[in-house]
Amino acid sequence: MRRGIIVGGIVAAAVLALIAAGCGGSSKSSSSTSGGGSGGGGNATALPASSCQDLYFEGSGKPDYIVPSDLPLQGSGRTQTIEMTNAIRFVLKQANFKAGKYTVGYQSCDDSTAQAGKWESSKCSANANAYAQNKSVIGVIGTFNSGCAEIEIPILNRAPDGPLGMVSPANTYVGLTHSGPGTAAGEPDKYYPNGERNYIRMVAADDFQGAADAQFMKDQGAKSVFILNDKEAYGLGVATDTKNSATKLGLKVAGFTAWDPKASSYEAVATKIKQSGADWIYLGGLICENGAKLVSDLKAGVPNAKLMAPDGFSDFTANGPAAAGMFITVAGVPPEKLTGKGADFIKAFGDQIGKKPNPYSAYAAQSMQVVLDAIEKSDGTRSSVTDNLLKTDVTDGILGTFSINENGDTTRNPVTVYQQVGSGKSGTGKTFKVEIPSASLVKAA
Amino acid sequence: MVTEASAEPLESTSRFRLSFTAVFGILLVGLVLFWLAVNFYKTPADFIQIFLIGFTLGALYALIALGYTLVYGILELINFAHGDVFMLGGMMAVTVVGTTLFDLTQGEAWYVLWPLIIAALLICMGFCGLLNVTVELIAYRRLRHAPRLAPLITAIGASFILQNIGLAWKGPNYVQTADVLPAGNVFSIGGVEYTWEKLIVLLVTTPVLIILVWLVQRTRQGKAMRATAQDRDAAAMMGINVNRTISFTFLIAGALAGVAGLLYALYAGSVRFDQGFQLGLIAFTAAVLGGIGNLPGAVLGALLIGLIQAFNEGLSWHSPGSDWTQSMVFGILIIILVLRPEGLLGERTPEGG
Repeated sequence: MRRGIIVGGIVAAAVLALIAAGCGGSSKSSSSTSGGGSGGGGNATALPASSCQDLYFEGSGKPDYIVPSDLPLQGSGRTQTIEMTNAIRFVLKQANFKAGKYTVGYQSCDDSTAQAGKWESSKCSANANAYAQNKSVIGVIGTFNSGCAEIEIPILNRAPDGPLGMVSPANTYVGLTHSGPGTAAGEPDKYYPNGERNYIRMVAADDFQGAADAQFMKDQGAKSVFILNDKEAYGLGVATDTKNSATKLGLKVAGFTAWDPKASSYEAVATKIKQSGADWIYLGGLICENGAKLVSDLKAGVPNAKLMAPDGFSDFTANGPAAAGMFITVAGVPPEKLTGKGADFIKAFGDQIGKKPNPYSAYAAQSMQVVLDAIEKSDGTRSSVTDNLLKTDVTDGILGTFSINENGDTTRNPVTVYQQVGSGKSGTGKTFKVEIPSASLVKAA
Repeated sequence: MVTEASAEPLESTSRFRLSFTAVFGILLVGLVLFWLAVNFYKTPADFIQIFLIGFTLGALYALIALGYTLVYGILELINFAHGDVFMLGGMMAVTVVGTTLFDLTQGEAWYVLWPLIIAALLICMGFCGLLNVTVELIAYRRLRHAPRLAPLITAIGASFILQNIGLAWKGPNYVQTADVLPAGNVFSIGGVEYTWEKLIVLLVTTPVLIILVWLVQRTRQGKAMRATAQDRDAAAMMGINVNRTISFTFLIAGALAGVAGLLYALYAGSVRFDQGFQLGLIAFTAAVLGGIGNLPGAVLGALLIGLIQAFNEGLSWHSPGSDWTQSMVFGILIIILVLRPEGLLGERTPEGG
């Protein structure tokens, strides 16, 4: 009897463990009904309120089309993503809610849940289906997280009258657009079931970031690096890219292991790293995977090692007090290095929000601009907008001059190294160096 | 002790399984001991350092595990909400110690720090104790004579409700606490550093455990608890107020969760609404490992799990590493339950084991 209860308890516990996976992507259902849209003619149907905020449109009546953004608006990175939605609104308002002869409205949709504190797969798929089925949606800005993009791209790819185009301001996972040493079998083709591409991104992929990170550590005099990852597609991907590049550069990889986001302490891991003699530690993953605690335990346990992390730690307000001095890379150009239109945007938008914009805000703004340009050049259908997105060629835009190649990748691939200054609300990133990794290193990543 | 554990239950099984399981168990324990010995030989300082880390973690787990085992002992109910009571205790600790009330910061003078920490401890104990009693009153009491599955499911329900209360209270992010415990080392010998934080965890945990044992073994109330655990109806006939005794058990279990919550918040430095679940699961495992219903067993199981985790993550020579921590913990649980279903120190009752 007693044994039966114990076994029953363990089974129930295991089931619960699967349900409440927290920051590790659980599978709760979220309700999302599709708006049965009507095509164009200033008669757009707004996306459902379960995931999306009210329609932002200041023209007369209703807009012809809706461009939603799909970002995680809850959890550690909230400050950053909310600012990105404001950057998108800023650009749309500047364009007077118009793209050529068409009028465009904007809705900010959320792919995260409070429970998970980050993006959640069921939310991503529900959102993507809502965009696909609402005929007013002509293009999508998103996602923030590569894992969520893996779910949304194929759904939008098969959308009616599609494919429906998507522009990501932040996805860096390599396999979304092209294959490489760190990508899985079947990538990227499995994301494009109907054979046509419908996805472009404004940032360099992780093969660039990994190469740049390894190069940076080597330039700073690193001899041996211990690489951690958070077991997610993005974290494991960028950690692998960095490992490959480091090996190619002759850096010793002292260890490559995962950190458990649910662990109560990382002191033992820190002892192991100290024992390995590594002078740099690389944290491939997201800050919301207990990153602040990890950083503080590593700082205490391996005080002499320098810490480096990719763009998963790019919300400088979330990194915790121990992160001061840590190096964090973000694919792209730092806000203060932008020129021309970019500098104008940073100044005007910075004045509006009353602080120095986060690096990703300019990328969100450029994404909206690219979508508006594609709508202007299109004949008003989804597939025509998508075609024009893949032909994107920007001269003197917010991010400067660049074009999109046939994979959907940008030709402008700098990676900026920031150094964390301060923490909490006053935490910011000081631009340390802009790395442009060599082509051969990127290929090895 | 582990070897003995693997040999003992075999009398009850057939002769073939007896030899097979015994050989398997001894082999496994021997392998683990060999692995530990080689690691100790190679890096003795790290080994001791990691032992201390694991022991401290284990002591924290023990406080939570005792709550599971106390309640199981008296009601034969796995109180799944217990981990979440612990989590809310941690949040209470963050609130009390943080800017909301005491506003403690690092480097407070000891005569300011300690009275306030003890006050915070009492607040957390009271809060969690009452919370646990309330959960029992609302979710379990009416179901005492219902089929076993009913209270198990309400326990899971209560766990989710408490989790969502934590979420609504502090939001989805990790809540950071200020580093208020004295920094620095108690001693540092040959590369082994023992920090004050770790010592404080033990300094609080040990007396709490001693008081608990005294309470259960030596007091009138403890006697009532043991009597109720043995036979509820007979205890009632002897004039023991069963409801009050059960409430008292939940109060004690909750208070232990409160101690754990405060220590965890101060030692680990961050609390999140879903943390109680994971830690509760580990503590529950510890309780089963040691023999559920058995107080020293829960402590032993918790210390073992703390050490397994730390050794697995920290040792350098052929350790599976942190990718495998959970698999290791639960793998060992499965092995021990297969070899000894009543747990390491569990008693074999006529109807179970």
